[in-house]
Amino acid sequence: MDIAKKILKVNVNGRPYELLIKPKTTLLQFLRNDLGLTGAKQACMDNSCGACTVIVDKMAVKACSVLALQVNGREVMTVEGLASRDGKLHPLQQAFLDYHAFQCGFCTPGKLMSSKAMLDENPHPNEEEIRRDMEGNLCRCTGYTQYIEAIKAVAQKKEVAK
Amino acid sequence: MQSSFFNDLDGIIEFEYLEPKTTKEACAWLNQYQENAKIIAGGTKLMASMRQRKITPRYLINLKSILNLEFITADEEGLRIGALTTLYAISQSSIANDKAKILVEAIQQREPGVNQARWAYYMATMGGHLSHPASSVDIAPPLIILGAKAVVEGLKGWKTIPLEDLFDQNGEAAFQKDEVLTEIRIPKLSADIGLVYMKSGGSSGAPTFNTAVSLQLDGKHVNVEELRIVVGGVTPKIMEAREAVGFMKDKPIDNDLIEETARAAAKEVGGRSDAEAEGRAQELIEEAIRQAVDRAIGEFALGY
Repeated sequence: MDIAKKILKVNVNGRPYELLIKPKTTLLQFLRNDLGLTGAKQACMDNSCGACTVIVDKMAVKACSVLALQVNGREVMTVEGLASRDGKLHPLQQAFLDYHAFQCGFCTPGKLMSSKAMLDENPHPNEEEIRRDMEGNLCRCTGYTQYIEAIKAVAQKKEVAK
Repeated sequence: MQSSFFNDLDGIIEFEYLEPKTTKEACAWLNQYQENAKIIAGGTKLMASMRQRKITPRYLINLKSILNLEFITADEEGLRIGALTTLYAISQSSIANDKAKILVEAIQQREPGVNQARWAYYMATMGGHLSHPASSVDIAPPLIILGAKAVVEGLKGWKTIPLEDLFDQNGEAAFQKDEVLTEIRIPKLSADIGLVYMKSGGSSGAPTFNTAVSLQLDGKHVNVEELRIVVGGVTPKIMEAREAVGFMKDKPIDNDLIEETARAAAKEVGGRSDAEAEGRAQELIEEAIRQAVDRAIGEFALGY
């Protein structure tokens, strides 16, 4: 069967793209192979680990388990789009550094994007909510304490600023 | 099953990605391509099945290209939810929280294994969840209690199916393979009906049970006028305890009656489950009935 490629129109990290892709291309493949955005990591490939998490229209999704065509016409943010254009780190990135919230760092992009989506929806989560919402992001180095402290710190700073 | 490590969808056959503009067009393609076609909505279940080669469609029909299947609205008759509305959108909706709080509670307590944290919560759709007996187990019980009906469209028109009849004993859907679930309709309910959804997480791999209970007392808050108990997870099919509710109907509410009814209901819905499972189901139903009594009485409840 001769399968026709489809046009994908998508905005990634503020930049519009229009590409012809195979229907079975996953969002993760599209980001990594077609756009060269390798921040989202390829790991479990069965939506268990969360290393591939990106944000689609403010929602954290696992890019390995979404077809690229499913995000047609939407806005995607990867970890490459988290810092501001002048290079200033996002508060979550800075907090992850300050609290040593990673070891090898492989899971970090996914954790950053999941926690950003969580804080955008719920700016002041308690620890239980953070643990529940981050349960889909696994860390092989077992660094499960510091990043929770980092997220709590960002949430508390927002509260002080308010 | 092949290893999925670093093994994306590359290994599976190519499929054509179809984007219908109308439900009729989707139904026509389903009718034309039969077993070779699959519907994709949120894709949370389908993508995993495709990766594991359990499903290898030649045609993937994306329902998201159809306008007007993603909505939450209420009128004099009740609440209407489009099949492509995500569970996230429902849980965030002020209309759904106001008109069908028990459904929102069920969504928020979904099985962690099904949840996969925020991802499935964001992507999963109401219609997708109700298209499979296994995935429907979390949200179908409250919908049954609410008296919801599924609207199913096909080439010949549309029909409604009560939620409890959506699947038969063998898990087969009550609608044809070339029909599409487009909407859930929830009738307007009286404010004095106590509605409760509860869940019991099994330890050491034991299955998770849930129950949805609706209870209405008479005007003096003494006799039980109406009672429904629906239980999911104990057997493959979602079960309603139809006989056990007879213990309480038209009788003054009391502690012994609640215990007796819960015991009978657990036995009725338990099928061939073991004594441990039946005991857990009984505890869950009993607690749900007590809370439903309190909710039916409202602010004057003393606590059952």
